[in-house]
Amino acid sequence: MASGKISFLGQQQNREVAELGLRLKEASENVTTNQMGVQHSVKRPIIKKVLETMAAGMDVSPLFGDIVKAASTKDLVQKKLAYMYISVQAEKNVDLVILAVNTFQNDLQNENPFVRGLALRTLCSMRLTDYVPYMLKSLSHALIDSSAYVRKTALISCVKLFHLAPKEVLDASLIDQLYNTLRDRDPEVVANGIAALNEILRSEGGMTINANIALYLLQRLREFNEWHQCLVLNTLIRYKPSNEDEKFDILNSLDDRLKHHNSGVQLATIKIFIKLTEGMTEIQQDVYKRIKEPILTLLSLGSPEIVYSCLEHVIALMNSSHQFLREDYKYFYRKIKEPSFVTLRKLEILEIIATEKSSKDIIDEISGYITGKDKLITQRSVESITKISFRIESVISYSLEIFMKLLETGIDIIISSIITMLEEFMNESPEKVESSLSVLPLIWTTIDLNSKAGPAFLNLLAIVGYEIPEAPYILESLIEDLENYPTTSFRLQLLDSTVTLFLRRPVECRVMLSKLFKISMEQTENLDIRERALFLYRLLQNDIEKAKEIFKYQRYASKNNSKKDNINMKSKHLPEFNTLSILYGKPSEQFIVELEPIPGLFSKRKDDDFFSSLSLHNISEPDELIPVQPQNLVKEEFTLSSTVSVDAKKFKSYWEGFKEIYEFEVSLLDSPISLTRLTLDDIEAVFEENNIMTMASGGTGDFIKLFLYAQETGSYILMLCEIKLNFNSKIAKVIMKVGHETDQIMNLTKHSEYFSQYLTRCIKICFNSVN
Amino acid sequence: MISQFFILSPQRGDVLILRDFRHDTPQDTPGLLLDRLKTWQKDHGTEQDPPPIFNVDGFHFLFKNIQGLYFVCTTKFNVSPFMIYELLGRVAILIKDFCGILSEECLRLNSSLVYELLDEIIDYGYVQTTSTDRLKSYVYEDPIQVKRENIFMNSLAKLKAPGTSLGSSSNRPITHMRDEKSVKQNDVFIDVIERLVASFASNGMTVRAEIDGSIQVKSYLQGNPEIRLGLNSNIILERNKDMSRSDRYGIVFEDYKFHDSVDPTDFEEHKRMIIFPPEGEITIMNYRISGEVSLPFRVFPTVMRVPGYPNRMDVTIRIRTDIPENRFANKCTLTVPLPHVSQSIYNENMDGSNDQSVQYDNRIKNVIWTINNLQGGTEQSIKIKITGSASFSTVAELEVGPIRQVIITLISFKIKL
Repeated sequence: MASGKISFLGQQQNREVAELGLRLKEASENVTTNQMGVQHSVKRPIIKKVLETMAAGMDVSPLFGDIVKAASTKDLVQKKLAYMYISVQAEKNVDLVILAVNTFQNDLQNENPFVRGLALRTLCSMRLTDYVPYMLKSLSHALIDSSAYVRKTALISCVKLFHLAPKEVLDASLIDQLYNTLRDRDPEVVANGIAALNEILRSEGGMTINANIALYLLQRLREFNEWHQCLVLNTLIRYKPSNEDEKFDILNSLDDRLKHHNSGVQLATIKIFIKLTEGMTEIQQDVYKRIKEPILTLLSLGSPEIVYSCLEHVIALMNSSHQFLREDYKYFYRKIKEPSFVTLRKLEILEIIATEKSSKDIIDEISGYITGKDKLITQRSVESITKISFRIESVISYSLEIFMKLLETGIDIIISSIITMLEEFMNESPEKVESSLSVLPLIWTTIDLNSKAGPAFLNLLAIVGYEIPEAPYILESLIEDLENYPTTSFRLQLLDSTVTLFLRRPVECRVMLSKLFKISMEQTENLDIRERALFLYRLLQNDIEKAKEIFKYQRYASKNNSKKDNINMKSKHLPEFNTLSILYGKPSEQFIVELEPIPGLFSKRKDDDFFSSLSLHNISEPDELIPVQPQNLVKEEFTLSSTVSVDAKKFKSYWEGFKEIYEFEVSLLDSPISLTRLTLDDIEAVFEENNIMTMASGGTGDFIKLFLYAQETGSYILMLCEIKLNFNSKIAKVIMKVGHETDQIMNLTKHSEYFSQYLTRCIKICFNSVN
Repeated sequence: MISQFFILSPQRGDVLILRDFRHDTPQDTPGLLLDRLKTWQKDHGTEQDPPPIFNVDGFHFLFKNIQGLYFVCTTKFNVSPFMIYELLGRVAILIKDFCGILSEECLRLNSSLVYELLDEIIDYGYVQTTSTDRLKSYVYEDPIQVKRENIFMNSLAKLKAPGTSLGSSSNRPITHMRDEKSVKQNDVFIDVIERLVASFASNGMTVRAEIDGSIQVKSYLQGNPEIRLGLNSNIILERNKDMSRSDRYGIVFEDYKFHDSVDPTDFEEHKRMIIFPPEGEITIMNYRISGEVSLPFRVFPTVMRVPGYPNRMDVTIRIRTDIPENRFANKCTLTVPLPHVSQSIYNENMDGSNDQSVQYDNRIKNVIWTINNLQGGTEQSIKIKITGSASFSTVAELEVGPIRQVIITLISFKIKL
């Protein structure tokens, strides 16, 4: 209760609540029965109002007693409403719950099974450990109740109880009783039994499945409703048949599930088919043929979300069977009003399945998507055509023709995308592209130079610049306008390109190059640019011939390789088919958070703390400046927060607590600068620019030691590290520890990788190490 | 399993329904979803939805946009996405069955009925049942009905389509009460909905064509009676690719699937099925036809420049209907994107026919040609003269298109009862 002044609103709310209480007390207990045998009570609308008030956020706890009284009624709706109130308010009014126990008692013996079920469900959903013995007793009676409704409710209540008091549940040998329920005659009871066992035995991998249970479940499969069939099939996947005959039996009996109307059942069946036929190549080919039709139907008929999930799964399947759906590429063409997330996946698939025969058709189709109206799709379509051309050389000229035509449209997003891709084309087959580049001066004004297209354009310009008369003047106007192009990559490329052009056409470029150098070297914000300019300037001063050699055009490693890795990564997850893993493209350890510590470790915690410990965003102390933005774990870019701050005490406790420890060395042998010339301040400044903060640092002449920390933007994942730098051996020894501020157990391998990459890079920048 | 289920209305960010099953999500999950929607739409435009799944610190959000409302499940488990999306769709249909229609207002009025339903559908995150028969007996609240304006239905009413019933009677909620009124209205509505998806190249060749069909049954019949449904006997069920294409004279179903309540044993032989429809709306059958599909409509576009006027272009579009003369296509909409420098158009109506309209939206540079009643065996065409604010680029023809047409037709068929 707030002490001191209660606001006017607060007083008003109290009055409302009190008024409701009065009305409840006054309303008669009368229950009328209408002609259909359904009870209606006078109190019902009042209780509804109470619930609405509760939903609006007001405190309705004073009414607890009245509502409990109202729960004893013949009006079933009123009873449900009252129970709804009780289950929400129980934890706030622990002392008053005892009043409700009587009602529960009576209702658990009610002749109507729905009332018994309702009472049990509400009773067990209250998270109060004091009542656990009572709940256990009611449960064991309910598990053998005559009504299937009560039995099935009891099974789910077991799971609730398990999360509340796991030791008691395990002690009471409920597990055996649960295994018995598998023999129940009602399939809904069996299904809930399986669900309960799977969850309670989660740390052991779920319920045990032997040949008997598997056969039994297969025989009864069709009795279950669609959701329970999903559950049973996903449980059966764990069963390992002992011989081939058994495998074929299972395949045959499940064949008709492929035509079930629920895609969850279909996909679960497909998963079993694939898993069982692993290693049997010929049979697996048949399996792929068999599952083709249902999948194509899903792609045509399904809702966008199902189509999206299906497409992701198709990608996973394609990587293990390269022929899969290769002939049916037309099914992956875009449809009317399709959301962009579906089209993007379809483009990905078209890239994979294009063959010599189909590539021209596919490229024609994709070029129709390049309208400029949808930015993402336009960019991706251009990329797709490029990727297909790289894989299938015969269509490179055709694609280039299309691109050249599209360059004339004058639509900036199209032009920018194409220029970006042309750079890649230069890499693959420069002969074909060079002649077309004469069009560059005509279109360059429409390119968005602050995007990826900017550096690409500059690079292309430099390559063919000596043949294009306007090239230096284009560069000149860009240099004049330099404030409009702040992007680092653009500026760096501008430096490179101007130098390249200068080496070929020195007279025209001399003035602008010196201007560019001047501006770049006076740069204080961006070290990279200043460095590059310095380096190039010195190079040109000292050794022009060497410069000419360096800037002779060389092919660089194409970016295509990364795509192949992506494909391989996806195919590894076939074991996690039909789960979210396929949609994220990551194995489950990377995104599933441990749900709770294993039972047995509970004894340390008080039950009140139990649920607050599951909360991931614990109460943050006021002196921490961590931004509380939720961040998508599955993002592509990993950035470090610039507002991270950790004090010495915390650092120490984290250092001792974090379990993920990595030790590695960074060699600085090729650093041109004598290490002793750098001061601690310099080093710390470089790290800080990259959002890695210094906790402490110090050193003598020969070596220095630094303690640093960093945090991923918007998350609670911290990295702490200790760097020992030995000037004589020119090696930096790093001990890095990664962990979560609130002790949450997570898989941090990916983060650790990113952190170590950042660290290594920073260390190298510090000492100007090349590469 | 599922941690929470909620329904969001994104316009004002209202949470219409929120049921927390496992009490393990401490954050403001609807808020997180709204943020995600807003940031995505800021970057990509308001018509675009983000991918239907994302993840914050171990909580997975799976959502579905149904009629502007977002139906969302959160979970911490590595669930099957197909199951969840099917569930979301099914819950929406159930709410529609029990409340009559699906709308924000209806949800607000019937929230306690919806919560009753949810408690019986999902217990502690595990799906129990979505069968209307069962749920009817578990749910006691009465639905409060909301009138809905249905513009589409009104335009259909102009047609003389005998034997089909319209509008409000099929928007009733199913009822668990047996009162005299509902006993008299023993209705069942059967819809065969076929969607023909086809795309053509600019030279008129068909790139692909496919028919996706579904048979939906909305039943208010008491007592689960048996209904027998027979389809055309000339349907051929293709199971293997051995059959050569020329052998087929009938309609070929490449794939099909049935609902649980259908007994399909007789289907392969005689194309008959026996159904026991539960109350409410279910899709009893889905089928897919592709390959040789005779197309009911053909579109022929021509793009020509006007010599001497670099900022003018002419686009002629002709549509030909190949359906029988006594049939009509009810609402035919063609959307033609134009080059981005287009400024205005002038429409020369070539055939002088009425009941058509041509509209030009300068913001998105689209021409929308609407024909209200397209009779079978006829042709319609329009000629659009486009004036641009600047010269059309040399490849401006590329910018005309792709033409999207949406045509809705009611074809009556005979039902033997």
